[in-house]
Amino acid sequence: MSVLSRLRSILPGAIRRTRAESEMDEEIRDHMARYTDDLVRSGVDPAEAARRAKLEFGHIEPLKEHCRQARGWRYLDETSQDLRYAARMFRKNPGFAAVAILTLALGIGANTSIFTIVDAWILKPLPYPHGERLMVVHSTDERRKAMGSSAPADFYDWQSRLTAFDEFAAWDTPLVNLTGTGDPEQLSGVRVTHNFLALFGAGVELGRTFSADDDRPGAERVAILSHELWDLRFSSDPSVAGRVVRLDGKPYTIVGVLAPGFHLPLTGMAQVWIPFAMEAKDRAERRSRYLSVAARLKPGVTRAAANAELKAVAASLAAAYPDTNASRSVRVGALREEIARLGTHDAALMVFALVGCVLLIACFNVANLVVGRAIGRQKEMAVRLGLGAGRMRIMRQLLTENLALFVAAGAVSVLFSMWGVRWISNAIPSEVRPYLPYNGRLSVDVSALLYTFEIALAAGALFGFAPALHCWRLDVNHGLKAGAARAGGSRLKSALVIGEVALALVVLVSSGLLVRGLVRMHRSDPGFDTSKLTTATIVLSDSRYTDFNRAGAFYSEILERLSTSVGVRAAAAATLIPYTGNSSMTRYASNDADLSPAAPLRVVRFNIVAGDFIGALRIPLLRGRAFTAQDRDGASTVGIVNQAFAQREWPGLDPIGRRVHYGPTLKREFAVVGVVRNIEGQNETDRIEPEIFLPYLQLPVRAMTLLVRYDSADPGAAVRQAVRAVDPAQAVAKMSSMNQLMTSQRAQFVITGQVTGCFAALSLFLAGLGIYAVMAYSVATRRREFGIRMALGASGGDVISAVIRQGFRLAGVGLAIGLAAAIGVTRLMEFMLYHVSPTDFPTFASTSCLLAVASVFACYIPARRASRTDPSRALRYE
Amino acid sequence: MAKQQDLLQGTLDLLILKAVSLEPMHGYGVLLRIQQLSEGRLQIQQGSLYPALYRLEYRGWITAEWGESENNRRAKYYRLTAAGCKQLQAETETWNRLSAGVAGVLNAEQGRS
Repeated sequence: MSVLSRLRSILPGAIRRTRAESEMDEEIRDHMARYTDDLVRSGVDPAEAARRAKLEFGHIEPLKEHCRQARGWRYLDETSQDLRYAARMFRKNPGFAAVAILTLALGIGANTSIFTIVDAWILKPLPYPHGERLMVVHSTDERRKAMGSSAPADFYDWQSRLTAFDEFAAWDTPLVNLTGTGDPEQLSGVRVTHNFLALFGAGVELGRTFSADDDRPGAERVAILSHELWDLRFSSDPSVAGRVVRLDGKPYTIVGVLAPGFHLPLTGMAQVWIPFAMEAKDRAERRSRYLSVAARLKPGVTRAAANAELKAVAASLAAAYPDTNASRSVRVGALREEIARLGTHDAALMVFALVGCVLLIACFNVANLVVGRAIGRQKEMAVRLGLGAGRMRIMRQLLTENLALFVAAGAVSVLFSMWGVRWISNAIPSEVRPYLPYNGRLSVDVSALLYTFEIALAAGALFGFAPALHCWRLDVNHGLKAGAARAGGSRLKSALVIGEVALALVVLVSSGLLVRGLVRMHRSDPGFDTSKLTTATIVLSDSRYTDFNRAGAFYSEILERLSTSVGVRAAAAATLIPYTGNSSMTRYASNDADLSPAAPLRVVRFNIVAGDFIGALRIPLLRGRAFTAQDRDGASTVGIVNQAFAQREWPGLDPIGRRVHYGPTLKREFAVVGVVRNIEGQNETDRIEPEIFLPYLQLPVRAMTLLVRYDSADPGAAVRQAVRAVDPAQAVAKMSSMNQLMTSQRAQFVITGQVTGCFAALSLFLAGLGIYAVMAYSVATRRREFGIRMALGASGGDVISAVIRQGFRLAGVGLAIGLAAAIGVTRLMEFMLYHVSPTDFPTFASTSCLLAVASVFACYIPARRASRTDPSRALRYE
Repeated sequence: MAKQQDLLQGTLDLLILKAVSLEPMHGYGVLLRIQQLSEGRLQIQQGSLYPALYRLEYRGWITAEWGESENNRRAKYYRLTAAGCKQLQAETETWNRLSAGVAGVLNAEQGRS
């Protein structure tokens, strides 16, 4: 029978239930009356006839129950009956219901909040057509075990030779200088092959996307705007298509505006899209590797097969072009993993695991409360069993009651999760957002609500089962005996409390390590002065600054103007500045042995600096001298190293005057003239890396970040003015203070620390509540025992210590298990720990003590109550 | 409560369908009619009659309505539905095949001995 017709049969039945019930009664009465009549007619005495009719009919109530069951009403009937009963129980005992629902709602709400993040970043299908077939192709250097961008010639060779992919697209992300509409502005550009936007399913709101013709050499220069840029810079002008703007000084015709929802974490904040339109000589370039490559697998082709084919092609290219391609290979990564690498997905998963523990603690807690209540109702159950109620029926009732509890908690939890998600979403710094899926936007959506509902039901079924099981094993005779009822279930309750304490300790230790890292982070000495320091990135376009010396002259002039501005203490520029996550490495050799071709490859972070960078950052110069204007092209090449480099290369020796070879072929060299102190901010976790600093006049570059130390007022205007004076068409890409950069770089640690800190507080509270509940219960059941003890002369203190000892035995076992588990799992979160060992003793010790003290306190309240037992009353009780 | 032991599983449903197919009747009538047609050989437990009736109604094979009976008594009259008619045919065929099969086996045994 179909579901619909079943419903049609059940529903009217349910609605007219009262009428149907009375009809059933009437029908049975009618039947008996007829039978009695027939018996009387056959000569039986009327009284005897009525008796026989009743006897033959049997018990009427079970029969009616069978009839109801046969009509399919029963489940609906009983469930609604159970629900009403549950509501009545909750109303009668609002404290229990409130504690249980609130506890669970906090646990479930915290869970849903984190699930929302995990779902948006990891679980949801990628919002691109055939997302699971999209791959990112990396060029690798097998000798250095490094992975990076690809050269155009390699890209075009792969495109023409590979059969495993149906699309091959490339991109890079230059900053471009927009002029021709108001003030010059530096935009985040994305240069792409013509098929790139189509590969990721990007549609346009206005105009058209790129065609193959746009990507041919000598094609008319065209550009597509992001929706945000169109809104902000072009005031959503509907007639923008066809307008000409200048990008890096060259005219580009705007042909379209992307649809608003399109976002790709790979390209970060993409404001303007332009086709490569490479010339033949650019396409033949194998030496400079600047392309990122995305590709789509053909349907049915595995990633392993594609990887093998790519490796084979790379090997044949290596054989054909040994100069450039020797030891080069390729690796294919799924788009999803690439996006995960950009974001902080591992941190999200770690927090998700912790919040799972919190939910378990909450569930254990509620299971404990519920089992306690079931034991309290043992006599009621025994009476019902004795009167013939089915065990299944009673179990089902208990289960329904608990499910109702969990579902109510699920509903309340939605509030908590919305609040939590909003809090986390707002905490994500705007610099990080473009590299996150959906631009870092988070909200509680349908799948999160479904998840909430599912875990509420699953937890309800799982943890509501414990009391039901207790009822299953209930012995009627035993259950009816007065007082005997209390003994059962204590083992289950103890196990739940031990589990709770153990889990709470794992959460406490984990968050303790993270929080300790945060404290270290705030107290750490960056090694330079981060306050009153402004940074401004300037990227000179290669089309307008073809000559590197002109770029050098640009920075010289800017720095000169700035250093003489009012309120500026010192001005400098560098290719790498702290707290940006940027890095640039070079090969080097600091002695003759390293110069031999057989020597292992060594790399170091290298930074090209201009102006008074020691004065601007206020890095202490430990030995030697700073750079001067004499360290220019033609003079002897010099460099400054940091302490870590000096110690690694020449431990205990004087580094001044030593020579270092560097560059891809080690052909360049410099003499060390100075040593500066190590500074932090070189990477996310502030690990100190060896670093070398080289003067830009001997090594000019086009893109540098200005570092301006000022007295009182932020010199933003002075920076813009200086840039405008030197080159009116040049824009400043991004200005922010060093403290802002530091805050945003550290945001993921701060958010994770704060979120897990909240979880830890919640776990501590829940574990304490769990211990309290069990001990309070145990004290209540042992009232008579305490009465006897005190009548025999035990003091209040004796009783208190007896109760606390009992409670602490449970907590102690939980703590021991928790410690062992914590030692096992904290290793997994090492990547998020800021200068804290995963087995940091002070953290382990202090969190264990905290939990121990909380458990003693939780025992103390019921213990004190026990010590006030009045012996004469306690003995009369029951 | 007594179980239906003297009838094969499902046989009671068949008998009820058959009885009701002759004319609409109330529960007690069904009981009497089956006793009468089987010449008293089949005793239906009163306790199992009503669940069976309700089950058949729930499945949509019979339908019930209240009507006046003799001496102004209100009674619930059961009637076969179209689906019930089909079910009755199908079950009758199954029963006939089964009993023919059983009879065949039993006869063969007799013949051999």
